[in-house]
Amino acid sequence: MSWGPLALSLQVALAATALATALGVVLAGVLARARFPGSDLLDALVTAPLVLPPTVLGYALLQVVGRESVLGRAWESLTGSSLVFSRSAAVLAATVAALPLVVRSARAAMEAVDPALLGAAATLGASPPRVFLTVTLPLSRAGVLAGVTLGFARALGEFGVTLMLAGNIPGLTQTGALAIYDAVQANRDAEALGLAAVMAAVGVAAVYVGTKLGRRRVHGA
Amino acid sequence: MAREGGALAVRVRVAGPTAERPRVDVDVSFGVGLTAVMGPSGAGKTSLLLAIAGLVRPLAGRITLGGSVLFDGSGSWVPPHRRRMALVFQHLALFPHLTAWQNVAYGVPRRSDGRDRAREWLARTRVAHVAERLPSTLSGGEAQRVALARALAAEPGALLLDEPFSSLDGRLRLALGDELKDLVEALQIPAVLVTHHLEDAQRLAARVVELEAGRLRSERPEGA
Repeated sequence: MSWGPLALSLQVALAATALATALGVVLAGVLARARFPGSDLLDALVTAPLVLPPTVLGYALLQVVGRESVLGRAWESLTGSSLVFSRSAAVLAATVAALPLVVRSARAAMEAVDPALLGAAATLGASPPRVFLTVTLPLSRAGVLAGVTLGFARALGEFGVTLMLAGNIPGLTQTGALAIYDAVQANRDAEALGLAAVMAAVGVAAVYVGTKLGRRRVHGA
Repeated sequence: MAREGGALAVRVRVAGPTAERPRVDVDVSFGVGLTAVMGPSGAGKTSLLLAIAGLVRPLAGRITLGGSVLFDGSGSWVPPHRRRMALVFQHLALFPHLTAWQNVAYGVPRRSDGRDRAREWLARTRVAHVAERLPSTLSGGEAQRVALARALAAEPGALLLDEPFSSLDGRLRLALGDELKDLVEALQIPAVLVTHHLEDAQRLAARVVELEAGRLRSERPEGA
């Protein structure tokens, strides 16, 4: 059994988790507090990857970042190569898949923070960004971490969107999930079993840890 | 500690359940010293404090502190974090993840002074010994004092107190009330004390105003 696809899965999932966390925490903060025109639509867009068929999502992303699109061209002129069918595309696919899990968990935790604490911080002279960083985020830490862990597990298992956007190129974009598919197709049962067992173990462990974190209360709260 | 003194003038209308019945519709001025605001539940006492602090946006009116305009219905709006209005919430709202001294240091204007100022204020409110403890481990009276220290350490231009003694009983309430009165007199700032206790109001405040259904009902001088 080759460890290459698993290592690639790990690498892609870690990068995607970092991106989804940075973006997801900010989005959750905005959605948790602000009511503005289009906030429900933004919520729906962020959540959509949880329910859309991966093919639909992959197709949509191809339209947005494909070689003929504005973003795709911008990427190509910046980096000198196409975004689609690259490792970056695999990271993008996994990020989009992980994002809703980060946002939903973080947002629920942030909404549970007592508004009086936010009001107290504001009257003590804290600007909205400082209130977010020093009150909202520390008090919703457990929920944010739970979302990040679940998002990591989701990124690790990403299959459909990756296939559409990044392809199934051994050594470049063939992650563990894709390698299992290939191994089954080619009757390499032992390899499929090995890959599947490792990925299942890592995934279950991540979900277990994430769920534990989600239940934990912040000390003193 | 030098502070620009100045009265707090509040003329506001705050939205209620219906347009005909705003939650608050008052024109009132709070001078330097303690003014008590009384009235039944739902009279709009808390809404009035939130509007002054900038946590609720009034429909119309004007709020000024000393010479500066904090809110004007015609467009001017100072956000809560720039109003220098310290608000002590009914349930105190101490930050549960910060120790007592970190709570008090949170609002100290010069952050490099935070730790020193926090220790000073905790000493002034007689709870220096709880500095390193989390709010969940404090007694009601200790938490109350920490909340007061936190509000005053922010060097506010006015102090707003929403039933700060409601969870305390008998002697402790009396003692804390007297300490509050002394502190406010020393600082020479307006302080608005929302309370249910006529006894507290008359003993501590230079002036008592009464709210009913969002409107000012009457004013009575001390001891009336």
